Amino acid sequence: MTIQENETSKKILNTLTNGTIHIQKNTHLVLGGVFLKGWQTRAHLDIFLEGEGARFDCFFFILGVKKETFPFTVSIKHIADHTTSFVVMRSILFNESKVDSHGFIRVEHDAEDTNTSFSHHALLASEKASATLLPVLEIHTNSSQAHHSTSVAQVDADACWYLMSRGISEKNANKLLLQGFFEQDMKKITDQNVRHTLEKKLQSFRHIYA
Amino acid sequence: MISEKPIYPKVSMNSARKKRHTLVIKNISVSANGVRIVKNISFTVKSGELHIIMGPNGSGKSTLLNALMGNPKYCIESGFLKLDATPITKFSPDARAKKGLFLGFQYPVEIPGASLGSVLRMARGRTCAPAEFSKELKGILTSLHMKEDAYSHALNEGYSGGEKKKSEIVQMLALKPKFALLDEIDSGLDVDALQTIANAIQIAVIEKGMGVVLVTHYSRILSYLKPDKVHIFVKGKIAASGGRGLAEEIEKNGYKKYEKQF
Amino acid sequence: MKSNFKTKTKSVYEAQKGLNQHVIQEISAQKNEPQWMRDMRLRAYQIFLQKSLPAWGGDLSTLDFDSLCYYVRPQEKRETAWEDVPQEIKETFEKLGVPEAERKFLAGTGAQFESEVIYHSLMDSLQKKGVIFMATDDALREHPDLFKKYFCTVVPSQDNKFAALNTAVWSGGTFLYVPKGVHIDLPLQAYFRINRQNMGQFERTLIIAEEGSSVHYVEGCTAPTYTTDSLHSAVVEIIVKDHARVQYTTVQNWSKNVYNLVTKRAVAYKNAEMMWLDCNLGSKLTMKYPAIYLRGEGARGEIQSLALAGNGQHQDAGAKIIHCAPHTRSTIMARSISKDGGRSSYRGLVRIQRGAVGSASRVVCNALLLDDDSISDTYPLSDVKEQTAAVAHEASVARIRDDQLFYLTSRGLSEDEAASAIVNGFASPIVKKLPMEYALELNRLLAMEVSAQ
Repeated sequence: MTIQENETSKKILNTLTNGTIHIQKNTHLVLGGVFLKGWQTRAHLDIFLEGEGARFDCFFFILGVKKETFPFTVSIKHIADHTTSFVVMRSILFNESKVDSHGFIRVEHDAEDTNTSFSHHALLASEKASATLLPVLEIHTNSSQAHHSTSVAQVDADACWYLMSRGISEKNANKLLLQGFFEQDMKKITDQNVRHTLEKKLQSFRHIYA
Repeated sequence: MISEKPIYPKVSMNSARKKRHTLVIKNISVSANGVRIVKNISFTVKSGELHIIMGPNGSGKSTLLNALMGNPKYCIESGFLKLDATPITKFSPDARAKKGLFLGFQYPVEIPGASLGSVLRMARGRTCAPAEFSKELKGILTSLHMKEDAYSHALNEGYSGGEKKKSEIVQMLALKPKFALLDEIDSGLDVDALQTIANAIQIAVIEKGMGVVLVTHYSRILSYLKPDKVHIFVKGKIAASGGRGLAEEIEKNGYKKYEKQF
Repeated sequence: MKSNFKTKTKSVYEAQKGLNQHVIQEISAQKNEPQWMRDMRLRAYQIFLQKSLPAWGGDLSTLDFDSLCYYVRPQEKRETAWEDVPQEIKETFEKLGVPEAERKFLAGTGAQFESEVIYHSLMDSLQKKGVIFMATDDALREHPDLFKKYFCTVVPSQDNKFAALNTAVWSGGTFLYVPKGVHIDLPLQAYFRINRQNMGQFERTLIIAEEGSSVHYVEGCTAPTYTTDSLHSAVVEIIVKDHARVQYTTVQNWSKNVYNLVTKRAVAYKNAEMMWLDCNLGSKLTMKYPAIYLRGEGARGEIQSLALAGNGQHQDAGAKIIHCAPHTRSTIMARSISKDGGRSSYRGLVRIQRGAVGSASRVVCNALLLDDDSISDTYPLSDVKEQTAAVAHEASVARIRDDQLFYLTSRGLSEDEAASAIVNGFASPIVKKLPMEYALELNRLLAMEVSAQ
């Protein structure tokens, strides 16, 4: 898939399959995804920031309910100058669901003044849920700013107790915290259309985690 | 300095007689990780009373308040807690809150993604219409010199220490508990914030008939408060109880006299 | 630039080049080893032949196993000129209250400096506590039961190709045994022992800290260590028993012709504490991932890693922590500096097994690229199967900020001085954990490296 120059393109995904996207000069792609179904084989999404000023924003929200698996690799290559990638992922995993997420970010030597940020935070909501996270950075120039962060944890016990001390039941406190978990990155989506679409998709499954 | 003439807020002389409640703390011992921290504490708080707890670091003041609210990290080994006729010793924290107990945390927790407004509405059982509730809460925020947009801001997220303490008082005023346990509400506050918070507490006690147990570390908050009782905690026990004069004595002489007892 | 370690050795026995069963048997015979050790070496050699080189990491394509010499028996006594003693060691002597070493030299009693004297007085005080601190070869001979009990239990031969190689041809290294409840306050330095024989290529170090004991062991020094040996493949095994504490500090500065491929692993039991402090400055390629297995409840692991990669260098270092028990905690801090086209890679693993209830881990990696030709890689894997665990990782790659440079130069520092100050500041959270003498030397070295740009 190639996006033409000087375009802003938005795409919402329901599932992840192999794909390649070339982003050209001064072009902005916003990719959003709410993944609820899971899949078996590792999906590879390759993004090439080929034109000067190209930008890639990615917002993935993953909800595993039973035994779903979510194995995938998002690979981003900064080839041109002044390119930006901003990737944010959140997973809530119930029962025996699993996320296995690899993120490869490579900034080539000739790509000047680039900016890349990648995060994936996973919340294990059941005993048998599990998460494997591998965020990779290969930086071949010192003119870039690169940062990534990942975490895996369960619902914060201190936060739960704090809410309960306000008269909120444990069940509702957990729901509030799970909602809040996705909300932390949902609020970073500046494109309101994308944000509303993703929130709507999560709405139908809200009863599971909220 | 608490020995200076205290500054009390102006309160209405026509506050209606509120219903009287009692909080009974009887022979309470609390342990954490198998270590006993609070040993056999007893005292009773009534509506409209302000009790102050003072004591050196590690004397168990914070542990007691947390245990009374049902913090899962602490275990009440013996004794009981009663709110009016109901023993609440085994109640979950939210059940205690629903009965009318409130804890102002020493270190309020940040709740990313959940706004102050939504949390309090949920805590009040969503009985109030959103618009009405929003108006009420914004009024409380303003009275404590906080911005109105705190209503829709994630609870405590990014707040300074002082702002977090104000947030506790906002929640206390919105939830209208019968009894409020305030754990070092004065730490991390500048002079203005201290006065604002102290005024709010005093008004709640006198006008709304709230019973308050306040743990203070510095005692400068006592310049703005009129306590009914002062308890000195040392090594998990009440070393002495008295009136305001006891606080003044501690200010002058420290805790040595009481530490020697144990 | 300090002079390199000059060796004045005259070898007594030198094995033929290349590796085969005969060479291994000769090594064992030269050392008069018991049969079981000889058999173990031979089995390990078979495993070495079967295993393949790692498909990841640095470039090992020019490593030619057949062209290496795997054993040189050292001369009995080694003499060192005072000027060749690394600065931080000299300072340690001062600290030990042995200025007479220098006085002896100045008084003209000899152009040579004997570290034997120091070694012996140190040994006396340790021996009184029941501590065993000797060359691994000697320990096999003098404490065979203790040796056999622990040897190869933390890093078995099957672990990887280089662990197998080491088990086959190991020679030299430190054996350190600390009895129950004994606390050794002074950091024990390999220098004191190494000086008795050649720096080994295939050192095997074994450290056992019994219950409630504590020790800090320091390997290496900041002074560049010259060697013709192009492959260094050591194995370090550490056992930290209940309530014991071990810190293992390495300052590696091999000359730039060396492949430094090391397997370092520790096992920590109940409420034990293990810390790896790993500074990699030299070598052509270092592949080293200190590991801690937290096997006992409440065990704590910490890995601090500092890497400097200059022209023609690749530091592929990292950390590996496996949480196998409840309420275990780990911290990894990795900082790297790449300059003149050097390449620094962090390769890490934090694994929380199901059942490691209430465990927590935090990893922070920061890389500083001093110029546009240098490279930084980060490969941090978090694998969590326990719901009640909390694992967090973050990493950043940046260069020296213009605003920082401007700020410092506006205070009167030259650009070089400003850059040095910033690099030292960047490295300081790790450097400050070194014994003071080493910290001072390392800071000097970093400043020198930066201004040499």
